[in-house]
Amino acid sequence: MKLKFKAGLTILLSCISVFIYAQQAVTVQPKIMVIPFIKEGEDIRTILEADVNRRIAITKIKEAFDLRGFTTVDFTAKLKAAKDNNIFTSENQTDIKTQIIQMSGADIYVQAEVNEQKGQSGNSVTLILTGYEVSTGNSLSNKVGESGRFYTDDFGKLASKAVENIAGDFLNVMQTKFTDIVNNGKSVIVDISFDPGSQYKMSSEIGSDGLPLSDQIEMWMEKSAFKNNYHIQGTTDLRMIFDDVKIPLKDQVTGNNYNPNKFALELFKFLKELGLQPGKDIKGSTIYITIK
Amino acid sequence: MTLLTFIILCCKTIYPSAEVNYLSGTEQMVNIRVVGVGLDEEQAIINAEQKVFDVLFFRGLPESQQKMPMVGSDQSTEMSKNKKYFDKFYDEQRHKTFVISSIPSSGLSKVKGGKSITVDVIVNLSALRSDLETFGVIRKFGL
Repeated sequence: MKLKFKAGLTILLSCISVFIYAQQAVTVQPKIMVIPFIKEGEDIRTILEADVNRRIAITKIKEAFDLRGFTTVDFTAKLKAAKDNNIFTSENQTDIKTQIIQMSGADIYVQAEVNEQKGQSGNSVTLILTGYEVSTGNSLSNKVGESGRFYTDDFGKLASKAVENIAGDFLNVMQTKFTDIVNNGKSVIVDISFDPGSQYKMSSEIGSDGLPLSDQIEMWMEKSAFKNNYHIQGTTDLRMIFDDVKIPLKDQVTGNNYNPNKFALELFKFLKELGLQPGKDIKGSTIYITIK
Repeated sequence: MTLLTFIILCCKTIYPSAEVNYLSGTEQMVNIRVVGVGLDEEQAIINAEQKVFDVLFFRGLPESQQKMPMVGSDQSTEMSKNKKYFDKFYDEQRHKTFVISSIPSSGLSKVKGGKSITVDVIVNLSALRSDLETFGVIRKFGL
């Protein structure tokens, strides 16, 4: 009897925990990719293949992320996949970097610049680490690491020492920015323009109160941006760009994950209510609205 | 007038200096020299160790990889938010599980309020961070 009661209780508790788990929305973590810094004219592929020290630095940085329980997107694997799929269409090396970042779907990329210095008082490595948000270009963390001078030609070891000296601090700063995003929302760009054949302009008086369209949009943005936080880059008669609009990570009502697509849909609905025919396109964290 | 001065002095909180200095460290551990005060050697060492955690949690340690406070700079708010965790950590001396070594680097000397000792404390930073994450005191890395 006692045994049956215990089994029943276990089943009941399991059901409750499964129910609670199902109620919680799964957090979508940002995708982070660590990439090497390349100078103009350098080929990212040959540089990485030939330079073991850069590969060591990149691996050490990834190791630091792993230590914090965070898995990064592997740049070398993406590079290989890009090569296999012949995605490189341009001769410009910077474009190749951008293409890989776009192809990987990374939200954040960390760029590692490794500089080797040889001297009579020993050799050293200086490492510059910079973390960026892909969508907005916002800087998330920046650190310069020094290995210190040693009488050794093992630059790989020096690179690894330079990473060790700053990795923790670099990630701590990044985490502070993440906490800020959780508390104050993530940034999206909203670009509103008109179809060439459109009869409307930003100055067109619209809606029941007959206000100019740009003002209607701004009033909506003021209400809809997370904690009323938005910034207008500029408004012309044919275009309006919000270069930084904060949206929440979680839906304020349902608690489900919130993303730029959902925010674009809200804006789309609002423009429809005004009697307009909008089109929407989302690329990463940039929302393009075209009014027909 | 003298009585008024006496009352003001009594009411004023005097914050002791942390006397915590960074010696060396990596992302996973940090070696710190700290001065502790207590009624005897054991208490002075415990005081020294706990000062190290105070600085790591609420102030951050310049020159180290933990330049920013691990928990937050508003000590009283953070401690009341996670009262159970910090009570256990300090009062029940759970902090000792994160101390890799604690070696006195000076003899015991008499000071006002007891005895003082300088101790070199090595803290297991990565274990401390994951403990704070596990108990929800800080958020895990990421969003």
